Amino acid sequence: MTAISSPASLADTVAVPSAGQRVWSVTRLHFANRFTMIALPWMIFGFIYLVNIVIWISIFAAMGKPLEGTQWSGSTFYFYVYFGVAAVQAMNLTFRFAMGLSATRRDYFLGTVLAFAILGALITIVCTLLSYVEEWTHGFGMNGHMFSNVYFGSGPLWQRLFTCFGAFLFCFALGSLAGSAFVRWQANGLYLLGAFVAVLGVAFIATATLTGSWPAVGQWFLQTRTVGVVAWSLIPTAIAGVAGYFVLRKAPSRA
Amino acid sequence: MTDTATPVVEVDGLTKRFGDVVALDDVTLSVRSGAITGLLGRNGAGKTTLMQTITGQDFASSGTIRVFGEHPVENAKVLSRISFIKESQKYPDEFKPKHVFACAPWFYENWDADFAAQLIDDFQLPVNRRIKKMSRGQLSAVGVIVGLAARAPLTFFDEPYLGLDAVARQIFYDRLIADYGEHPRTIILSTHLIDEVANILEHVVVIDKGRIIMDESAESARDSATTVVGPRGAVDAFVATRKVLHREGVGGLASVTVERLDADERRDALAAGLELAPVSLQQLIVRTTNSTVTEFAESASAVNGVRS
Repeated sequence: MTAISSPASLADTVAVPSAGQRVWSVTRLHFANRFTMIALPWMIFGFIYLVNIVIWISIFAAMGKPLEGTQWSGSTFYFYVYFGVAAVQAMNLTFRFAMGLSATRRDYFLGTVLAFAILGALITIVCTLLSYVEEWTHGFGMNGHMFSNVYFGSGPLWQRLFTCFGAFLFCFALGSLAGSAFVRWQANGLYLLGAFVAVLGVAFIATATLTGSWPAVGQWFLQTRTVGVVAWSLIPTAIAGVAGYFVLRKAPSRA
Repeated sequence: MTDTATPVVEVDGLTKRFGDVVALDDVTLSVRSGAITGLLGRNGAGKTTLMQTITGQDFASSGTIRVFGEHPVENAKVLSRISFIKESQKYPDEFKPKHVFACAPWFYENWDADFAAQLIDDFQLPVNRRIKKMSRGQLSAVGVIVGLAARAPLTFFDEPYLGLDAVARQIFYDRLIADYGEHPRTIILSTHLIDEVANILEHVVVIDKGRIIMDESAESARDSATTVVGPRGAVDAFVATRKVLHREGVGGLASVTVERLDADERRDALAAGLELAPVSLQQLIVRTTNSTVTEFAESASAVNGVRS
């Protein structure tokens, strides 16, 4: 046939990239558009910080003395929530694109985990750094605390890094599970997942109420402190991550 | 050393159901390596579903699929050699074409950046415009460029040029043929514009209602039917004993499409004062896919029967 005179077929010459390369390709894909994955989180980050500082300054100016109670600031919680939402969104947006580029679901999932781990690590480092800056400057002379809050930004260095990063992982795992459910079953998947989480929550509340264990629950949170709570959260994080992987493995990539 | 003999894609008894709907019904097919195959059929015939299951984007309900001799689902070894360009491809919201062309080389080992740049120029694609804001034709151009520049050993184009004008489509055909000549590969092209692609197809697969009704070389497909034109009486006499695929007439003239005629039959027809006209691929497919499923199966097997 014609094959005798024509150049060697392409099929013979293509090398299959290694697993590491393929996963890294997906990770890079998440960062291909720098605005969504790099600029936007920091803009939100900066905006929340700015709002906090403006509030501190106005209170400080009005009261004329250092602030009280800002170490209980929950501002950083916004990052975690954003992070979870970003995970859902990223999967919704990039899954079919990556599949269109012939990525496997496995490589896609691992690459996505790596991309968000990198993002989480960067934010953790900046948060921790800023928590020390706030301490060294005594909250910019106003006793303002946003990053040096009692939950994630107190205690020794390892604790700050651990609680911050662990909380990010938790939010990402939940977000990626929701993202996988959405990609596989669309909105129905999210309803089902939401209902499942709600049932778990109600079951917990009912159990605690019926057995009169609320004081014990409160006690547990006080005793285990953020570090402990985050450490325990690694269990649901792992469960959600593994579940998300298996949900995604069977997700079709249709129009 | 050439693997032309072994098919790139082998599908056996493939069925795909969506609830009650049977999108693919016991499809058995093999795609020859190093050829341009046209996957033709009406809307909803199952073209996209077939390509999606072959490329592991969707899952078969039953049956087996082998691509490069292996199961394609979640198989990086197979998938890394496939490029599947589909009309309905989704891109991340904020993406611009430049982001797509930045990502593509990470996934396609054979990516040719110079070729991509030339194609961007050919199609006059604005690489800095958000994909969301682009016209249907520009969106199609993004896919076409990725599919061509990827140079994947197995390339699927599913309705690649929705919204592209005639000039842009001609550019696509020209570039495809030229690059295919230099870098032979297996290309599967699904389209409605059958006449436009008839010349570049080497093999034709026609799917209708989830079943393969034609699977043969383009040449033999075109020869599989002839239109006999002439005075109604003479035409009717000539076609009386033959399988009629289509019939139309004006006044005393009749034009009837019958299955393949051999040399003797052609001579008889000419002697009877009849004209013989070739049937274009498009006409042939319109005529075969217009009939009911049973007529279809009959005419298709009749068409195939002639060859064997």
